[in-house]
Amino acid sequence: MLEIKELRVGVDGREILKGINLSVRPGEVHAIMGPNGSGKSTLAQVLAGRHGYEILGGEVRYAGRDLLELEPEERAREGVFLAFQYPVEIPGVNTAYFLRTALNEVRVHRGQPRLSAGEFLKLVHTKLKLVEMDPAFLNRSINEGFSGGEKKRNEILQMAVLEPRLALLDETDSGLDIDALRIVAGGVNRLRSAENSFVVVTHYQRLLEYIVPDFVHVLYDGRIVRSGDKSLALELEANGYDEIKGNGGRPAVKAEGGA
Amino acid sequence: MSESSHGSWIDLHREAMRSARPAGPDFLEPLRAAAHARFRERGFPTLRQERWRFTDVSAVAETAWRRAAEGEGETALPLEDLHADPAAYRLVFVNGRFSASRSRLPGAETSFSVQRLSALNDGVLEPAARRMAETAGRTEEPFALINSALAEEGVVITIPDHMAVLVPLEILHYVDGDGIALHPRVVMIVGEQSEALLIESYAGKNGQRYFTNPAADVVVGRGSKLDHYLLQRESASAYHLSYTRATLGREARYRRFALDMGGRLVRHDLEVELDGEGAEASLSGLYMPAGRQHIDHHTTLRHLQPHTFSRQLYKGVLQDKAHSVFNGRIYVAREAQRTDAIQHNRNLLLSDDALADSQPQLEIFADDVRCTHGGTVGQLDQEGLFYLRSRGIGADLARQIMVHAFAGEITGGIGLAPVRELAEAVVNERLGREE
Repeated sequence: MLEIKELRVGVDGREILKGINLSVRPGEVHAIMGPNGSGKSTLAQVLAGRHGYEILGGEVRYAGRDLLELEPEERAREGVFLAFQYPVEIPGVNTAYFLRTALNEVRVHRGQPRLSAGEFLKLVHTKLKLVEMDPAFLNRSINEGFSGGEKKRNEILQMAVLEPRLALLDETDSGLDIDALRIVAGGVNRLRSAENSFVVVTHYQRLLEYIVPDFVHVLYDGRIVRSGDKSLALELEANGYDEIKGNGGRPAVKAEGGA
Repeated sequence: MSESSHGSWIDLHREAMRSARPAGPDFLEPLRAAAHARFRERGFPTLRQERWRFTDVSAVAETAWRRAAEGEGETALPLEDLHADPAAYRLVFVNGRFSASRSRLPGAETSFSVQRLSALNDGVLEPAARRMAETAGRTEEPFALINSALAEEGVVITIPDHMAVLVPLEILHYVDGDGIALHPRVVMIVGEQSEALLIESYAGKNGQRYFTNPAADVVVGRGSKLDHYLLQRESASAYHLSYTRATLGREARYRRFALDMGGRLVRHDLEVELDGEGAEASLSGLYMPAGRQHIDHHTTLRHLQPHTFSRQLYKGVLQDKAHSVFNGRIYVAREAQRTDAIQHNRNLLLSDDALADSQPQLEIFADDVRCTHGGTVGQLDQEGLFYLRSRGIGADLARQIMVHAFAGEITGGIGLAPVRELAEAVVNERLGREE
């Protein structure tokens, strides 16, 4: 489904990703962990198509296509979904209108008929239950005045409505209390299937107690330095990232802190 | 342009009017003469004057405009599509002349009055004349003086005390004729504890180059409410220079919304006097110039009494090489303690060649006031655009949604539903959006 080979990405002349290799097959859940500044979010953003990143080398194949050639909306229509770490507030754009417009763009691309307002409402109400959201959110501007937890649930709602084949969750657990985390993870788990794949980017092991991954990768200084199964996450939880920062199974790289 | 040529411009236009012997009550003639003399002293504004440094009116000054010929434009298209509210009473003017067949006036049984300036009854003549003379005598605005000197036709509306007129009163001016100038006048006097809705609409046949120079005198009496809508959809080659003066009494509430879509060069000078304790003014505007359109709002809020309240929100969406100007002046007199005034102007530039100038001007002589202002000029939020696109919404539609949301803050606040729907439709049309 997703094949990343030697991907190198820079921002403002600085190399952030220094050769990423990752293969995700249908139905798999991959967790990408790592300390702050290791490049986890950059990877998620680049896959979703955010502008402002320079592709310095490597390639990304998605469902047989060159993903990096596609515009963000084309990626979304092809089934790529990014749950934002910081969902954007868009005053004046009604959430229901936004969701229906997005869904219909995706449906038209898939050769399905557009949904009427009534059909859409029926669908969205079943999805709202999945993330335990009040239908009143549909009549509010996108994310405007939403709490941190509400914003994250709204991301999962959008995912549930758009039914992507590849979902990228960028620090979806950050800023969530345990109840919200449980709801969000529950929403994700109900969307797991033999066809759908997930890449879960997270700093903490906590989320992975609820969304159990098939593979765990440790990203450090722009490279995947270790890969394993879910036990790797527990190991990191116990020992922290210091050991990886120390040598990381690769020639030691000095951490430059921050960013 | 020299002063003498300004003098000859107004002389020429006044002479043309006099020789045509416009109908009208006698009181207009001394008023015209006085305004003519005052304009002759001042002349047209130039770019060297602070209040006019962004707006070049030399094209108006250098044109010998003409009065529409008798009957000219009578074959203009049906204008129903331009009506803001089908239920409204309306007075329709084509090329500055009243069109009875296109108008719908309240019946004789109503106790409020809607009359043409050129055919005033004695009952309403005196207050209208007094108000017009007062405005002409004190305004410094050149285009207010031109209107006072050359106005032939207009509408005088008087609402008595204790009356709510819930049917909107719409005045539509349509121009179809190259080189025409019109100087229509509106006088709206709302008594005490009353309520009314006024719609001023200006439109013209596209491609026609003409000059619309309206002036409005508005008085909102004690405890009364007036909602005033200005819908400007002139030809993209037209010049529209307007003046409005509104005076609010104690606890009066005046709400105004201005939509500017048309015009080659547009300037609105608006003066609001909050001249009674607890008076409230809420002004909003949306302008969406494209091509080389130039749209200029100059507002002056005079807080003259304690506990007066004003809110201003003007927003612009600029495309191509359009230019907008917003200058918001807030004057707070020494007596006007506890004044609460907020003014915002926000501009969205959709092109690198568009330009928005935004200037606040505060003159505060009272010490216990809340007065804030803000002006922004920016481009579409890239984060928001990416967010929409990342959900499958195409780049063009995402941009339209964002612009629509920006404008929606203004259109969504329009109280009168038909006007709100019309404004939204006009916005959609300008944005090329189908839904």
